[in-house]
Amino acid sequence: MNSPSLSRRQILAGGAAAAAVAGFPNLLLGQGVNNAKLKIGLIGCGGRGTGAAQQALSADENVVLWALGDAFPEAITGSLQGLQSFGAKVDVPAERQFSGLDAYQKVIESGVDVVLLAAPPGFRPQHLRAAIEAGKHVFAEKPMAIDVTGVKSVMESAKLAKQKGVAIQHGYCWRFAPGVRELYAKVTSGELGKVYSVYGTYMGSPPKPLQPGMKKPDDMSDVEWQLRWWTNFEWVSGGPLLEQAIHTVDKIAWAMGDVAPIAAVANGGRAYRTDAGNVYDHYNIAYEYPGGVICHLGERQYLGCHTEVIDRIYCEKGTAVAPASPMVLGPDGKKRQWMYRAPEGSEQNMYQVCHNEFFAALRKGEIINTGEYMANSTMLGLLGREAAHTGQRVTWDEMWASAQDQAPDDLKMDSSFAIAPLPVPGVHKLA
Amino acid sequence: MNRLSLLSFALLLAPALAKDEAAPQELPNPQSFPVTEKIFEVVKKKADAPASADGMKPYTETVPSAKNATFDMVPLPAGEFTIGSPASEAGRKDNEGPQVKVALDAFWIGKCEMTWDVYRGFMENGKSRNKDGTLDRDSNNKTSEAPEIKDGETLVDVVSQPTPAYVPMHFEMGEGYGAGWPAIAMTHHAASKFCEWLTAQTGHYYRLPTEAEWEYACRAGTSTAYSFGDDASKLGDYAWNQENAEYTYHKVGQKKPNPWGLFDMHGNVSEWCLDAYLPDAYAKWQPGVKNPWNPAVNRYPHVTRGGHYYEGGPETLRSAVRVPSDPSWKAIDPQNPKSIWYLTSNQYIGFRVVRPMSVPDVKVMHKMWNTGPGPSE
Repeated sequence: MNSPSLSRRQILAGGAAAAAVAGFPNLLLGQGVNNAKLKIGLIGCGGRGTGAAQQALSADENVVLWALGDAFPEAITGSLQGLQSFGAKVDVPAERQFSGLDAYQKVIESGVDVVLLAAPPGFRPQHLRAAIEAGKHVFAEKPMAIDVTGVKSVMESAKLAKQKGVAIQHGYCWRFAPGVRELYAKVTSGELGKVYSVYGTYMGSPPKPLQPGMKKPDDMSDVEWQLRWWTNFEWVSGGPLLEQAIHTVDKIAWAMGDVAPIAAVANGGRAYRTDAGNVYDHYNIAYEYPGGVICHLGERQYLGCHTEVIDRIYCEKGTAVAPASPMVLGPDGKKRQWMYRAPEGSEQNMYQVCHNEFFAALRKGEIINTGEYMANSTMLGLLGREAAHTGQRVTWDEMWASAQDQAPDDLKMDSSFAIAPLPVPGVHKLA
Repeated sequence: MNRLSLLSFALLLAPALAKDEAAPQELPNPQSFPVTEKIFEVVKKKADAPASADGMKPYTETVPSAKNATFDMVPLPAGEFTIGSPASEAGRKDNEGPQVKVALDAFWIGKCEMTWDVYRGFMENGKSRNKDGTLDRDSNNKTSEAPEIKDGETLVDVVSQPTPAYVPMHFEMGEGYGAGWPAIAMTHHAASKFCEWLTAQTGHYYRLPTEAEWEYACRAGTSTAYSFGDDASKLGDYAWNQENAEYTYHKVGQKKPNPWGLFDMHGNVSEWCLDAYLPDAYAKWQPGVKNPWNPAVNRYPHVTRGGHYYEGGPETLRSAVRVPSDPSWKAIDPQNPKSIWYLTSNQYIGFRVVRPMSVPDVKVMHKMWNTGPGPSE
C-alpha cells in the first residue's frame, strides 16, 4: 500500500471535493458569499452540452450564458433554440458564437468566467488546459481523455488549477445522485465491512450507430466525417468503455475508496459491429486491487441481448446494488436490508445537483478541484481498455509510464485522417 | 388551430362521421401523413375483420419485426357504460366526475399490458435515426428527413422509431428486457408510434385506448370502485401495488383477471390512454355520446390509468382514477432537447393497445397516432 501511485490517489481519499485555497487572486476568492454576475461559455453544443448549460443556468440566479462554441455551426443554432426559455439569461449574440476546431479558444477569450467542457472527450485535455491557463472555472464532462498523454495533461492542468485558484467540477454524474451517494457511503465508510469484490455492468445499445456499409460522403473531409460520428472512432470518443461505461469504471473506483489498482486483465473485441468505425463493441475486465480484491466490469453495446447497468458491491455484511434502485441485499444475496427512497416530491436530478454544488461553492469562494480524481478514473478506464487491446496483464504503473497519444492537437477540419486499425490482442502494443 | 376548435372538431369524429373535412395541413405531423396513407392501404388490403361484432374472436397477434413475438387480443362488445365515479366513492377525486353515460363501438383490447418482447423490436430498431425518429440519410441526426421508402427498406423501416436509449429503460427490474415483463418508460408519442409500427406490419389497425375505452374495459360491466367490488382488501389478488410488489413491476398476467378476462388493469404499470387530460373532460360530454375522446394539442398532459406497483394507496388503483402525465417524468434526461421517446424519470408507465372493429378514415387514423404540436417537446 506504499506505491507512489497509491499515495497520489490518497490525496483524494473518499472523493472529497474541496481543496485548499491557493495563492493567486481570483474573481470570486476572498469576497465571501457574493453575487457577482458569472458569465458562462459552453464548449461543445450537442445535446449533453446544451443540457449542461441548462443546468448551469438553473443552478444560480446571477449567471448568464455568454458564448457558445462548437465544431459545427448548426449545433450552436440548435443549442440556442433549446435554451430559449431562459430569456435574458442567454446573451449570445452572433459575435460570441464560434464554430470550428478553434472555437474553444475563442469562447475562452470572450470574457467568460466559467466554461462548460462538453465537446467529445478526445478534445478534453486540450480544452481543459486552455481554460485553466486562462484562469477560467471549469465544469468538465466525463471522461477526461481518451489516451494516456491526455490523462497526464489533465493531471498537470489540475495542479495548475490549484495554483491559480480556479475550480474544476466533474461530470461523473452518479457521484451526485442522492440515493447512490447514500449507498456508496455505506461502502466507503466501512458500514458494510470489507469489500470482497465488485461486478459492474454497462450492457446496452450503441448510442449513435454507423450503419454497415455507410461511407464518408465524397465532399466531406475525413476529420469532419469522424467528428460527426464521433462515438464510432476511438481517437475522439475513446470507445464505448471510455465514453459510456466510464460511469461504471468510476463507480468501481468509488467503491474501492479511490485507491490505486494494481493491474488489469481483460478481453474485448468487435463481434457485433460491421460498420466502418474502429471501436470495440464489448469488454470484460478484471481489475486487481490491493488486498486480493477483484473488480469485474462487463461492457457491451449489442441489440437483442440481455441488457443491464448494475453495480454490485459484494461486502462482508451485504451486497450494495446500484444505481437504478440503490439498495443493500443481505449476505444471502436476496433479502433487502435497505433501499433508498427519495422523499416524495423532492426527487433530485443528479445532473442538476452537480451544478448546484459547483455554483454554490463558487459563491462561497470555495474552490472545488476534482481534476486529479477525474484523471485517475479516466486512467482506470484506459487500464482496462489497454489490457483488452494488448491482451496483456497491464499494471497501473505501466499505464502511467506509457506515452500513448492518439488525439492530434493540431487538427484541421479539412485534414486527411485515416481510420486507425482495430487493435489486435497479442499484436497491439501500448505505446 | 386553437384548442377549442380542435376539440369541437374531435367531438364530431363519432363513427357516424363519414367525411373528415380537415385539410392535410391541419393534421398534426403532416410530414408523416404520407406514411399513414401507405399504412392505411395495408390495413384496407388486409380487411380481415368480421362483418359484425358477433364474429369477433380472441386472437394472438404475431409481430415479425419483433422476432415473431406475440400478444393476445380480447374482443369487447359494443355497449354503454357510465364513466367516472359517484361522489360517494372512497378516495374519489373531483376529476372523476360528473359521471356521464357514454357509448362505445366494439373493439379488441390487449389481454395484458404490452411487453418488452414486442416493444424492444420497435425500440431496438438498429438504424441510424434522426431525433424525430425518421431514418438518418444525411449523416446528421439532428435534422429531419422525408420518410420515403428507399432501396432495401420497407414501410415498417420508415415509420418513426426511437433513437437508442442511453441506458436500458427497464431500470434493472425483471430480467433485462425479458419476455413477459411489461414495457415501460416510453413517452405517449413513443407508444403511439409503436401502434403505427405494429399496424404497418400486421395490417390490423392498432392504437392506444381512449380514456372511455380504457375505463369500459377496466370496469367490465361493474360500477364498483374496482372491477372485483369495493373491498380494497382483495386488491392483492388482482393487482401488483405498493403493498405486494416489492417496488418492482411483475410479469404480466399473473394476478386474477377482471370479469372480461383482462389482466393488470389495476396495478402493475399505469397505462397510457389516447386522450389529452382535461380535469373536467366528462362535463363536456353529452349523455350518450359515442366514442368520445379528447385529442391532444400539446404533449402534456395526457391521461394515464390504472395505478401502479411503485407507490400510492389502494385508492390510486380504482377503475375511475385519472392521472395526468407531467414533464417531470423525464426530468433526468441529461440532454437538451430531451428525447421524445423516453421517460427517464418514470419507471411505472406502460400501455396496452386496442384495435377498433371498424377502421376509421385515414386522417382520423393519423390523428390518433400523432398527438401534440409535432415531434418536439
